[in-house]
Amino acid sequence: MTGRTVNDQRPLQGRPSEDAILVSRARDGDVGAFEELVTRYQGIAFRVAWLAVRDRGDAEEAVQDAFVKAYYALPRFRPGAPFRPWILRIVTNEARNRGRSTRRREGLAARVAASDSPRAAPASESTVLDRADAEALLAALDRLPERDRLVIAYRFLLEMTEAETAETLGVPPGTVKSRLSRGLARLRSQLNAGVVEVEQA
Amino acid sequence: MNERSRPMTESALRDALVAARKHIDWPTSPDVVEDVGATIRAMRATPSLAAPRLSMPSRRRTLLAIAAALVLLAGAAFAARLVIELGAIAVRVLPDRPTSLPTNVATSDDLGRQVTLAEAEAAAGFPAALPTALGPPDHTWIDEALVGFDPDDVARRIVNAWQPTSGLPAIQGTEAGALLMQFEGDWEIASKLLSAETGRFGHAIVEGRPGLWTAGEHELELISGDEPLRLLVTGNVLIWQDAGYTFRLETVLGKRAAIAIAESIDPVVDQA
Repeated sequence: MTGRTVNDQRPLQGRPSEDAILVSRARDGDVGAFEELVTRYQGIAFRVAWLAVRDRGDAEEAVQDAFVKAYYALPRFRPGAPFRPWILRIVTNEARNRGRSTRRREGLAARVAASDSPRAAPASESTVLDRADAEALLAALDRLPERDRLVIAYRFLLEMTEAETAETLGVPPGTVKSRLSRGLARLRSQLNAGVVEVEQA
Repeated sequence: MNERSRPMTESALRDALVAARKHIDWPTSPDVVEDVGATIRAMRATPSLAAPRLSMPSRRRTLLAIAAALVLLAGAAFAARLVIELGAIAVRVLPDRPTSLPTNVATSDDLGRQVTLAEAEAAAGFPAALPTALGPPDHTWIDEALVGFDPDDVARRIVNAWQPTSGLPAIQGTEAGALLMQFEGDWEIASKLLSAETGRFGHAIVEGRPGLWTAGEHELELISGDEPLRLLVTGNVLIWQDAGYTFRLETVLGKRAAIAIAESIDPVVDQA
């Protein structure tokens, strides 16, 4: 562990045209250019990894290993393709290999911010969730099988599109759709048992 | 409106998930730029790993990766964790001794479903590779690890065991003199955790193919289904790849004897 941290307030999206230039330079051996790519994507990479392993140390190792492997895999990177889903897929694979670790994992619900106020801003115009409900919802998400949980987490908690979720998980888009449908149905059945209260304005 | 009185719609659930995201106190992201850059520069500075090109045959690449890793480990100043991948098995080398090793060695229950050799081959869909130096195995297991998102995405493994003999002493803590695991494919479904401090590992060549030799206690994590199984390894282990399979042979024998056993396996039919 280095103790250094990154500013998580930076946008998660990179700049594709600049990515292509950096990738090209990195393929030519410019490690500094690759470090710039690491700087751009290490934040989202860490969240992707953490959602898979729920252990900060494992997530950090997965991210480091993934970036090093990605550097050596750059010759296989298709020119013009977006870098972000490619690196996030490598990160996901690294993380999932560690996700089977028998270490105690941290629950999503345990990461709900301690402060009860102010209430979170509504994500849509109609939905407001208080802290207790968010905890219950995320606890229910935690109880889903990994395959359903990751699809839902990447899609909604990381705001990935279905296409990007599919690329990141290395599955066809149709699989993401079916996993989302199945996972959300499971989640709803848990929530409709009266666990979570959702207010709609 | 309070939704508790009526079933939540999928649309409401999607909105709730998006709203829940804003409550999450994400763990602070570590800054890995310096470590990643330093690792790449260290590997590039290793002459034998100067240019791992795609056009290079995979066997050559693996050899270089192992050689480079061992060179780096020899440098005391390099304290990063290294990963050596040999097909289905990833070997993770830590700069320090692992703080806690598992206490249990593999038992019959840990190795999968005990079956006959013919049943194992039928279930696996590939032939078991058997060293003629050991003769027919005394026990056989079949197991599978989930490697994808669908239940059919599995990688299978066959494990054969031979009872101890005068020339094949028992592996400490077990009733076996030799254990041979044959993993299908390249999915990482097993990993070994080694300590650079003890440094009891090195490269090995089996029939001209790159391999890894480890001696001394370490941790083996096997995936069974979708679950990890942490086991203590007390024997000496030879790992190598051939024809799309990854092999792991554990005995208490020395490196040369283990390689001789490995090389007594009849040519393996390539999965492709």
